[in-house]
Amino acid sequence: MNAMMEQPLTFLGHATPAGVFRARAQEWAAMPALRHKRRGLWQSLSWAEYYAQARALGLALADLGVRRGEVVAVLAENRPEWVIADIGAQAMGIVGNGIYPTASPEQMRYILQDSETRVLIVENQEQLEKALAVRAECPALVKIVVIEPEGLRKLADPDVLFWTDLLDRGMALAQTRAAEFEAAIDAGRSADLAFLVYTSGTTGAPKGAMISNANTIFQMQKATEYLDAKPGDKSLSFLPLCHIAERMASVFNPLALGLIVHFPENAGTVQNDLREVAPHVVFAPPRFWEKMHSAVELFLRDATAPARWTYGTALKRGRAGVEARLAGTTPPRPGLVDALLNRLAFRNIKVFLGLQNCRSALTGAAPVPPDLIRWFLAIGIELREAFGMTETAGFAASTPSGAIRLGWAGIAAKGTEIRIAEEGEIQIRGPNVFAGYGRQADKTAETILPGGWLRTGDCGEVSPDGYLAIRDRIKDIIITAGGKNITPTQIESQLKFSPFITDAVVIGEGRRYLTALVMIDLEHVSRFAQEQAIPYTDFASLTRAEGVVQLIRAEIEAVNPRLARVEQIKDFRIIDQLLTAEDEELTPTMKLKRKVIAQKYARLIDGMYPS
Amino acid sequence: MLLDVQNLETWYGPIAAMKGVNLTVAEGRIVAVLGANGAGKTTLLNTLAGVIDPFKGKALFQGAEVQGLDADEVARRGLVLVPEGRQIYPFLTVRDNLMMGAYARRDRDAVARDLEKVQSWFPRLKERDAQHAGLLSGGEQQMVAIGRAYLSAPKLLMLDEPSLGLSPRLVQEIFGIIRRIRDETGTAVLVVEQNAAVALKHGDDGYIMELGRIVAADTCAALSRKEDVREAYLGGREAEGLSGTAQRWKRRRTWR
Repeated sequence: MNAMMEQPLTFLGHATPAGVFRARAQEWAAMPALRHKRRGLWQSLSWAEYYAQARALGLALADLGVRRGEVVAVLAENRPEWVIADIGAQAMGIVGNGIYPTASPEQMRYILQDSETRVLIVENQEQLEKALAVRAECPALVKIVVIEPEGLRKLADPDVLFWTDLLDRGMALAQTRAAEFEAAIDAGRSADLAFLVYTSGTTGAPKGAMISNANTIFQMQKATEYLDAKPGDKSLSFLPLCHIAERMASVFNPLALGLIVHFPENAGTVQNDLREVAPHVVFAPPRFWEKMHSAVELFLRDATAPARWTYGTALKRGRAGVEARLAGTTPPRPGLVDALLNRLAFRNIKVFLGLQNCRSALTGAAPVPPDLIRWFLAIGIELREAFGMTETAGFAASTPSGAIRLGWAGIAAKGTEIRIAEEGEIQIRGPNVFAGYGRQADKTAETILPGGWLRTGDCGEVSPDGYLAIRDRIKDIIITAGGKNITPTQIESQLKFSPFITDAVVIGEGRRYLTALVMIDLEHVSRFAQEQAIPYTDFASLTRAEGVVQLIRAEIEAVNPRLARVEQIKDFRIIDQLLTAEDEELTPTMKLKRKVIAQKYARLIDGMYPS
Repeated sequence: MLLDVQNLETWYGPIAAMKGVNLTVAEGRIVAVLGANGAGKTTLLNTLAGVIDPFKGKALFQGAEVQGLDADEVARRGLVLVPEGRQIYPFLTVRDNLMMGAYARRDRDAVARDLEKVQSWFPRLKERDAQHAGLLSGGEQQMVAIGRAYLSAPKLLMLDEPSLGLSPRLVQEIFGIIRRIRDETGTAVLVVEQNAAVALKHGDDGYIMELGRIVAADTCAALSRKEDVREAYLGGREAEGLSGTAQRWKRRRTWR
């Protein structure tokens, strides 16, 4: 540790991401850095332009009176302005922060107050309305910047300005005061705060995790180890930038690797944009990969008989090879038939999914069903698991290429240590451990132990050769009336592998047996209902339809034999309301919040345990 | 159940206009189907009336399947459509237009009684009995279209956007008469509307369609109380936003 303090971590000789940014902008000046689809056309921004705009924004923010160490927040969907603002602010020593576009005004107010945000950058009129609704309660907030001026022609508010005006002002400042920006980059220190990430908060109020420059630089070093990418390779930025994984993937990994970051037109066009971009690097939670898998399965159900035969045969032969590889034996040499089947079936599937160029496919943030990895391996995509959290500034462990072990999340990043402490808790020490929660010293002290060990709150185990397995969140572990310890997340992940189940919460604390509350996938279930001629009108009637209940029961019963007796789901209920990210039942990443669900649906739950 | 629609699905070439619609109309009820442009409302009525054949699903009218039957057969069974934009015969007189509705009927006395009824509901049509229907105002043409449909002795009257192009007062008048028809004759009504306020006010049961699917179903009174319905169809947000529209920020509608 001491040696580290004296010799700060560097990347290309720079101790801050802003320093790397400047070096890269010179090195790759004319190469594309960001691409954004607008009105159906991809628009490019080169590294030199990216740097010029970030500089303009940084100078303009300083001109508005934002000082080193103060916070600027962005509330927008993924788009170039988001990352320009983030890195531009950081270069000036201003701390970047992101707010989920789905945040309610109430959540916004909390984050703005908690972080004492000085300038808030919002996407459009709609988000501005939210900001204005809470502005009076956020005394630190001096200015609101709006990216899209549509519908705001009549707006006359001295404290609201437009992105283009701010950028123009910054460009003008850069004519005379560019040196200030350069000096600010040089003044950045390894231990300084780079940005904030508010934890989504499945329990309690969100906390602002502080990520330092050193954390970020360390993760950039690691990116070159776990990602196989070279300058000019492509990535698509479609997960929320407020989340640590996407923040790293779209702002910092590109600095390390030279990825061209593509921003989709909107959330609804992601599948299509993925096909167009055909990225080389894809990180997404298991749910996303599951959707790809079910899209192919459902698509093939309607395909012609020869297509189905080709797919079925290719998959069967592919799977045999996968099992051999996973078992550590040499798979049988692919013959001419395999090559042909591969070409016919899997090549097309990969093109259909936009994965034909993908060399680094990673998943994490939730348990990964082994069958999912098997399927992707069979079609020729090495879907590797990784483990990380906001508090480790991204990945803390990842599966090395060519060394997938089902059920294990990979090995610790080099330069970090992982240990198993009391209650089986996974603890991590190393330069990826974050700097603490802003203004919550008590919470920080609970999380980072003396000696620098981070309590992850997850329990798991480490194999003799260093592979890490995640079992569950410790606080989520269920102790049944029979005294058995159950890890619900593992069971839930198996249930979620069904295309008809979006999410599930396993219940059973202090009960005689386990049950589940299930959130159905509206698209797939309504399609099923239509195919089976099951009448329904609104969402509630769909969840009550006998055929749908039977469908979900069959999906659960298909999972049960793979579970130990005490882990089997004896009964279930379907949540009869269509939930959105704005509902308190869901996190911004659309996961069910266990505690809220248990409270809100107490009646449904009690109904599954007749006395 | 007078009409029971089950999983009805209609395609226009490669485009699914209706992706499985379920809906019921009970005897003597006025049922309103609401939705924006392109939701599939007209497709629903055209499919029921036999103008288009469905790809899948069933429509049971008085217990017998009517999907895929020819339009004239469907009309003979008492499932009668008043098409969007009225579609009257401009160069026939008002009376001839009305009598076109009774074309398939042989019970002359009953037809005469029905004609009298129509003329009592729409006194103006009696005044213009011999005029070319093309010379009538939009509201009067709508009256002709409804009257014509009634003269084919419907058990279920299907109206496609009766409010289209009419003044607010006329819209109220037309809906008033639709109710009167139901009250006096017990004819059930299935009405498709964009004018949600008036349809919810006069209807008994309501359905909301979006992108070819039913997303909400309830009594009209209950639907009018749903926040999403108020916001999307009734302009129910009090506060006005910066852009001058009633909507401030979007939430995904869940039709709770």
